[in-house]
Amino acid sequence: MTGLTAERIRAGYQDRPVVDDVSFEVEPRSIFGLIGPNGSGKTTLFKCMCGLLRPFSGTIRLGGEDVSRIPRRRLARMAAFIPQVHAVTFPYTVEEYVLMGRYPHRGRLSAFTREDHAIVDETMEMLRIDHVRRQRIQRLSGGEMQRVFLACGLVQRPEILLMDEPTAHLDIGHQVRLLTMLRTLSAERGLTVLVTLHDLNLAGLYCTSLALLDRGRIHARGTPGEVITRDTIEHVYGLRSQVACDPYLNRPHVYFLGSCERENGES
Amino acid sequence: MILALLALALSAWPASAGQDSTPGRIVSLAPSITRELSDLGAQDLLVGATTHCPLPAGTSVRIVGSPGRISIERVYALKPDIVLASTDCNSRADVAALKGLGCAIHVFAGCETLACMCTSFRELGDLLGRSDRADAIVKDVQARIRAIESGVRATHRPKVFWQVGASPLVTASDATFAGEFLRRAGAVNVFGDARMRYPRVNAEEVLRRDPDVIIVVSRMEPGSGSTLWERYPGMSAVRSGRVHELSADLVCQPTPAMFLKALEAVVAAVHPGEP
Amino acid sequence: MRGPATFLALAALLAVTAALGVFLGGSALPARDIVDALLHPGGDGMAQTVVWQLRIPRVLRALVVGSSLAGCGVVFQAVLRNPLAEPYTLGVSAGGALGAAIAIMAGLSGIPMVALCFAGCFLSISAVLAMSTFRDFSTSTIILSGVVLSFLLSSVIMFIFSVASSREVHASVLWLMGSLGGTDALSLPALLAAMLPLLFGLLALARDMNLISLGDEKAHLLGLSPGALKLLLLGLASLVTGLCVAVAGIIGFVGLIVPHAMRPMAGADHQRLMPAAMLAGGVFLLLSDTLAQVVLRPYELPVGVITGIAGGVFFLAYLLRSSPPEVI
Repeated sequence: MTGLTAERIRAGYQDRPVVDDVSFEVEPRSIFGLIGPNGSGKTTLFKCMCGLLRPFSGTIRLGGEDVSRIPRRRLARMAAFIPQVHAVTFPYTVEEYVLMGRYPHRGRLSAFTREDHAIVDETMEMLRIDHVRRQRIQRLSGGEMQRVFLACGLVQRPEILLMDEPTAHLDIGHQVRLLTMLRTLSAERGLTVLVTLHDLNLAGLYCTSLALLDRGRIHARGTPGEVITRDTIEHVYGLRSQVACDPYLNRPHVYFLGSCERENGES
Repeated sequence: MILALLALALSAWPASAGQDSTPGRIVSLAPSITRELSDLGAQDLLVGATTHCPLPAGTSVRIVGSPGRISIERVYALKPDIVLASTDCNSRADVAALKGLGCAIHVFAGCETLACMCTSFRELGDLLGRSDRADAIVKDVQARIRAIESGVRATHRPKVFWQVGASPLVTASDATFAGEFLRRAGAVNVFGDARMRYPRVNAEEVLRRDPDVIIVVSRMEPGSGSTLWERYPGMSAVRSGRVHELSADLVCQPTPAMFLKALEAVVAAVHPGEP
Repeated sequence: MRGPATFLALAALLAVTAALGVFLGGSALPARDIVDALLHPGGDGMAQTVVWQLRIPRVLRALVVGSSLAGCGVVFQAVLRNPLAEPYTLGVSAGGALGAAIAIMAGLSGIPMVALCFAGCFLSISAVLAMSTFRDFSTSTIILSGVVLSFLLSSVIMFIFSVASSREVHASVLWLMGSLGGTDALSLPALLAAMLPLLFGLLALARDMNLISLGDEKAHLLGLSPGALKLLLLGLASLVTGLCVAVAGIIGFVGLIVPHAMRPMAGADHQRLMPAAMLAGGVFLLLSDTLAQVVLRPYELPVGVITGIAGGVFFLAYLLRSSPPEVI
């Protein structure tokens, strides 16, 4: 079971840091949410965790090992990184695309085994994209495509799954279904999950722990109840709100009241 | 893209000049014209010529560019009495530009036949006031060619394949000067009846028509053009060792004097060992 | 995807076109003579010489060049993530044309000319890849470098043509139009020896092509090194293209159309697309070349004319069909 730690990450582009002194820890088998406004550095941090961006200083550790030292193929077998939904140039079928997630496990010239195909079948069934397996990716709806991208990551059989804004472009139904599935995977398969999210309520509901980024630094860290409070929302987002804690679920829920700036009219 | 650009570069149309007195300063824009001036003994009148024109060493003649691309300024700066151009190698644009600057320019039509070459030559002679000399040269050339022709008339007429290019394989039909060489040399052009003047042919067809002689016209290192046929020892021409190379510089000059020289070379290739 | 059916059909088509290429050629030989020549290879007879020394090598050359160009088309489209890419996109053809023009000006032919032409191709792709290292082989840098180099080299060629005699220009233009009949070009065994290892290399990298076509990030995340891979793929494909240009001149459209045509049939997975495109490319070029020899027999058309017309018609049909194109 693998966890992830970020130690004093300072990173950015062309000598200009976007995130500074960011540290957090993702416990194994948990769902960790990275939240914050646009431009707070979530995607930059995500790229560092994938190994796509080298931080100016600081280390990311996966299961205790420094990510920048892990050979790429082994990293691909340990961790699955799912970037935001993007266009696919060529008309691959769903099945072909998902199967590509098995490449890190197979050498260039070795054929796919029955096990590979079984894993692909099982994952597609679980994510309910089995019925479109022979369809071309470009023909799918947003929700289906998101699940295909997720399937491609899951067949890598990673220990840790990192997803960047998986709920963008999805309707609320699909958002809830996706996060529910991640929670199930985490509980039943011991998968460690890290997601970057926009929606504070969903983050509060589904994540085990959260880190709130504000202009490149961690503003708050801990359980959802600790991170999502009226004060943090006002400080980071500039919004007035009312945060209630559900007694059964023990999870915060935010009621947004308006912007902090004086409006003509009223509170 | 490249092909389209080239296609524009190479055409001109005939234009006439006005020139009453014999010109003292001549600019020649074509190598063949330069040669003809030399034949007429008028080379001292030349003040400007192209990079491809044959000029004696240490000459004071100014170079005005390559035939396809003339420096209009240089020509103009030489203040020639007349500029001589050819539709064969000079561009329409250059000719028009010179005319536009008020240069007297005479354009000769490109020639593929001896008759045309002789007419052009006489035309040049008239222009230079050396009509008698031109006439004498033409008559001499024609007489000598007649002698050659009667010399070969009696013998049999071998089949000849005239090769212009190697890759792709290109030949010349009877409607070209090459065709005329072969005809006058008493040979049969195996592709004489082609509808295009310089058709691309398939090597198979050359094998099938089995010429007695192969003449390769090349600008290349000696021997490189004919090695191609050595791979087919079954061919008559290869078996009897009658694959000849002629230099393009010899063969492709449209002047009467050069025509004669080239014809002599062709006859030597086609009818070896005959006077 | 119709599994093996596509490949069987292609293999059958290959056999048929090969037979057609042997029985039809620049001269009209009776079929009986051809069969006789096939059964009795030795001997000096005209039919034997034509069949064994002219037609069969030409058929093989068309198959090799056609499949190479199609295969390279697939590679370029995958690496550049652009279905309109083709083997000459990065200036390989301009480099080869420059080498050929220089060779013709210098009066070279045969092996030296082939070598010079190939050197031109090699240098142009090296320049493009060298320029791209500065930006870590980002796709847009590669494409821009290729375009810039093409223009530069074309200018040099224009300059050469402007000072050359019209005979030389004409010879260059004819050569550039492409021809598979070049009997003075690299011998077939040498061509095969150079080409086959490179083609096998590309086939072996088919799986990597799938990944790289998903973008640098995705390829990286699935365990590949995108920069190194692009360098390798483009390098190999350009060498192959360079050999094709050196041997046969610039034959267009094969590298562009064949991958497009095969993608709906064989699927986008490069492990199937590559071999399918290579087979189809060989068939296509061979048919075109046979047609080029037969249409105006015994005079030949440049094979590029046939591939060009076929290409134009194909694309027209492709654009006009009822369902919109999959890839833009």
